[in-house]
Amino acid sequence: MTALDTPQTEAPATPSTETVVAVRGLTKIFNDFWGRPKAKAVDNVDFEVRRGEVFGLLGPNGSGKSTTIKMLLGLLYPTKGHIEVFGHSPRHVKTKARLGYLPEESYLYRYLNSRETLEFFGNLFELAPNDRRNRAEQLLEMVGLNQVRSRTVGEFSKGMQRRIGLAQALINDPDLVILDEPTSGLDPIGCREVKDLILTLARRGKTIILSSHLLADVEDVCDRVVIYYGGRIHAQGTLNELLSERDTVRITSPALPRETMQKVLATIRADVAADKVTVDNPTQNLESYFLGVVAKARASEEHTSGAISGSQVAAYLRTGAEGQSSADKLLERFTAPAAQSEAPAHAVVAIAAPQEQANLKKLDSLAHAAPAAAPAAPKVAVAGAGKSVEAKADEKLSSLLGKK
Amino acid sequence: MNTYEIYQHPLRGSAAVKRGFSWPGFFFNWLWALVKRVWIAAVVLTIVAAVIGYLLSELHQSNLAFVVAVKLLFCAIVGFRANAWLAASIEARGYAFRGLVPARTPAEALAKVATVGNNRPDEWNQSPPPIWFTLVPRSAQQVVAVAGLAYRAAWRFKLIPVLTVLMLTIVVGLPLVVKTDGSARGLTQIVITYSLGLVTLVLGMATLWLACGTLARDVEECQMQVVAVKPVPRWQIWAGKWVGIMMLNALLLGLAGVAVFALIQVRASNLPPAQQKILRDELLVARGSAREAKIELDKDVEAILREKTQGQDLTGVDLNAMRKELKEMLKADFQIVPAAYRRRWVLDTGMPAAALQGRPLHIRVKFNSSRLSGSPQPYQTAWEVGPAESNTRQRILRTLTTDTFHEIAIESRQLSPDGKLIVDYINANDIPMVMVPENCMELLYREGGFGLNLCRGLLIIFFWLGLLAALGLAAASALSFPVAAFVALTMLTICLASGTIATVVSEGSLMGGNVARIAGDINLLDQIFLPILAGLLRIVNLVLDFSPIDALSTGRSVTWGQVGLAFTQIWLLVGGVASAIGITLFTRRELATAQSQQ
Repeated sequence: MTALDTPQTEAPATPSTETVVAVRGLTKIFNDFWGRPKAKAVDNVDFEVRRGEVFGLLGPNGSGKSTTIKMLLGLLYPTKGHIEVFGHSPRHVKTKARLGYLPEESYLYRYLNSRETLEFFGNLFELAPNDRRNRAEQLLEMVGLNQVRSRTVGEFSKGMQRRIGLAQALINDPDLVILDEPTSGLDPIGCREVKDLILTLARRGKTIILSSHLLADVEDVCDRVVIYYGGRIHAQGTLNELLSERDTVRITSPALPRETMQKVLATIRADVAADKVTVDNPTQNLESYFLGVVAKARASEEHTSGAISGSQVAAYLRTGAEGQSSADKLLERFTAPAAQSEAPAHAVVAIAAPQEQANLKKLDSLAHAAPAAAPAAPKVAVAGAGKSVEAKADEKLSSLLGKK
Repeated sequence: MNTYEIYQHPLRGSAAVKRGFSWPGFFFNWLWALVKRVWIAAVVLTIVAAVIGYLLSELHQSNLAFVVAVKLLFCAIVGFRANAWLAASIEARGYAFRGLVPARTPAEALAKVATVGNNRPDEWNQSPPPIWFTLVPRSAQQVVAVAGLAYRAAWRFKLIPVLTVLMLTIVVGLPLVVKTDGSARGLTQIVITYSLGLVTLVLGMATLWLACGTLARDVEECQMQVVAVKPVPRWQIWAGKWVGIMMLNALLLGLAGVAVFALIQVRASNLPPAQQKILRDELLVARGSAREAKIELDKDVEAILREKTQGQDLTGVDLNAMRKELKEMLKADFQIVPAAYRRRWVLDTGMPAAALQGRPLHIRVKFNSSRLSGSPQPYQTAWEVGPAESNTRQRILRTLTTDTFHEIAIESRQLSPDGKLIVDYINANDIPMVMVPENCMELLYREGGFGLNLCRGLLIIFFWLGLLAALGLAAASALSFPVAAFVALTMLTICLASGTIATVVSEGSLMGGNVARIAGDINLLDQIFLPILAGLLRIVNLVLDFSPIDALSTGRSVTWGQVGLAFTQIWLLVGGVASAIGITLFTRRELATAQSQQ
């Protein structure tokens, strides 16, 4: 029995070992009109994505992420190498019934309204009429477009187009969801909702492949990532493996009296050089602050002609994933290296190790390989004022790999 | 229990619109739109209702069934669409959709909403009214979805309204602009030949353009990437596009057909009585045709050749040239009617005379004189029709012009019991007359009415449009939109130039027959292109072997046999090959490009 024959309805607690996508020696060369090689977009790439995993593809423009995605979807054909999706070729028609795809731009029909768009794609999945309409209604509620259902997609803002694009990708309750820049163009509320949705889907045992330039988003949801450059994979692994700075310690506590602080610092400085120790107050996350403001405005029922914040995840997508909230999942993941952050939050003291950690070396080596126009590898900062490890890595990646 | 869509306005409160069929819309159409303040629909419906009212007043005696059918169709369309128009109009006035409410009346729906406020039960929204039946079987669901897309696009991009106005302008406006001679033939010439011909041309061009655009642009603008990753075989995407275009064509061609039929009926009532009779008996009918059995000359040619060459040395003699000359000589015997001579035709209708009793019969004749003339000249003609030995034969004396088709009414009693008619032409002039066997004599008899004949004629035109759609899609399967459009238009031009190709093939040279003969041999270009052109001509002839517009304008039958043959030749053979090529190209094509890579 192949993976295709076993639709995924049970929710595994952790990613299973069942391979959903297998890529071996994948190479794509684009030729010119005369058949001469013009560009090698993907060069001998290998990776596997397992069931229930949120898998991130990272890389600068032209690094081969989208070409890889399009080969996974059967829209481009490999020059060399082998791809299996649920044990079949990506061009296998029946396999596509288990896929959901959100492209990097709104490639939807601009003359259809949002309900017609979902009805159309529901028809392509041969959904029964009642099922199709139920799902369309639920998805429109979920992505917050219920009130503008009769406006055509061409009249939508970019964010609204992303929302309807996401809805069409989920109309078939897919087992593998491929999202190309899912949060691009979305407001912070939309971003949060998409990330929550991704985590919900992952809890249901769905597999998600995510390509994004917004590294903070990738960090929030991905279990494993690959980093592309020049068509090749330069780094691959879990976020924990790639990002944690095991030789840096952060202590957080409620605000302390000045004398106590001085004593603590003195004790620390006895072992660590003074310029390696930073003290500051944690700031509130801007995303949380923004969401709070909008929640207040919504409570006062101010009118908007655009998309409204979506309601809860569509019922048919929630089945089997009710037990654990997204916050729980996030917490679980961030607290996995338990020893590092047990202190209650408020004031933060971060101490950096004298030598750079292994994964930052990797990034530096990437930077050396980058073209001259790219900014030079930043000097690895000591624990930055108010910056989390994630934010620091985000900044570093952005400057190394370039922003989209 | 009905389902109502609830809309809310920030200042004006709530409104409820029923989902589904609207009986008030069905019965009161334009009045309903006025009362509901759906202004655009009100204007359009008023105009359409006025046109139908005019038709009713003009045709209620002659074609009541037709007018009633049109009226019912109109009411049904309004009934099905009315609530959607109302919902769109309400939204355009600033109302926002709030959800669905099950209720018996709009008032009950609004009362329910007022009662629950913002705490609408989830099931109201999440359980839209169940669909108990669907016209689309599951096996065709994907094709129909893609087809519906092309159809919707045509509405949203205003293609259908624009083409509809264009069609009606051609059908209604052209006869008003072009001057007629006030005869029935002049009327049919303009309303059918010109109008329907022009409609076919416009629809053909639109079909080709649309077929290229709908597929090529979907690929270029990347929508196809989202469609092709769904579990739809690519051939079904291709077929869906074709079906969508043909749905449009069916709608527009049907509309043009109804307009032609209505217009000709209305205009006929203004003709003088004699011309009305001609119209009814000769033009607005489906007439069958009987011709003389084909004359086989090959056996006679061989017999004469054997006789002439017996015992002779034939070394170096071009026997084929001799055969050709002999055949022309024998043909001339049948074509030339010397002065004071008679030529006889036996025309077999293939049905017993009793079946044709009382029906109008006509012989359709055409002749030329042996005297060279640049324009048609009048000559005295004498005709005798009826059983050879009968003394009740119908004798007709007419002055007719050369090189023109003429129809002469025949008494149906002149038919023999087995449905054969004997016609004699007596040349009373002092010069020989020329009767070309292919078109000099034909017996026309009524087989059916004009309405069904028009439908059959439109079906053949529909097959042509289907082929053009397949050609356009085939080109767009591999090429970008402008290139595909150029290729498809070139193919259309080649089809229209089939006469030139036929001349080249019959002359055996691209440079003209004389040049080839003088040169005495076939040059390289001819060797390459003549077989290609001959093959192309055979394919084009498969398509252009039918002339429904000509048949309709001359009151001839477009038979079901012809429709079946057209279906086989145009759709199954030529269209099938074009589709197979297009689908193969589209299936093998990469639908993402290097440009969109990151």
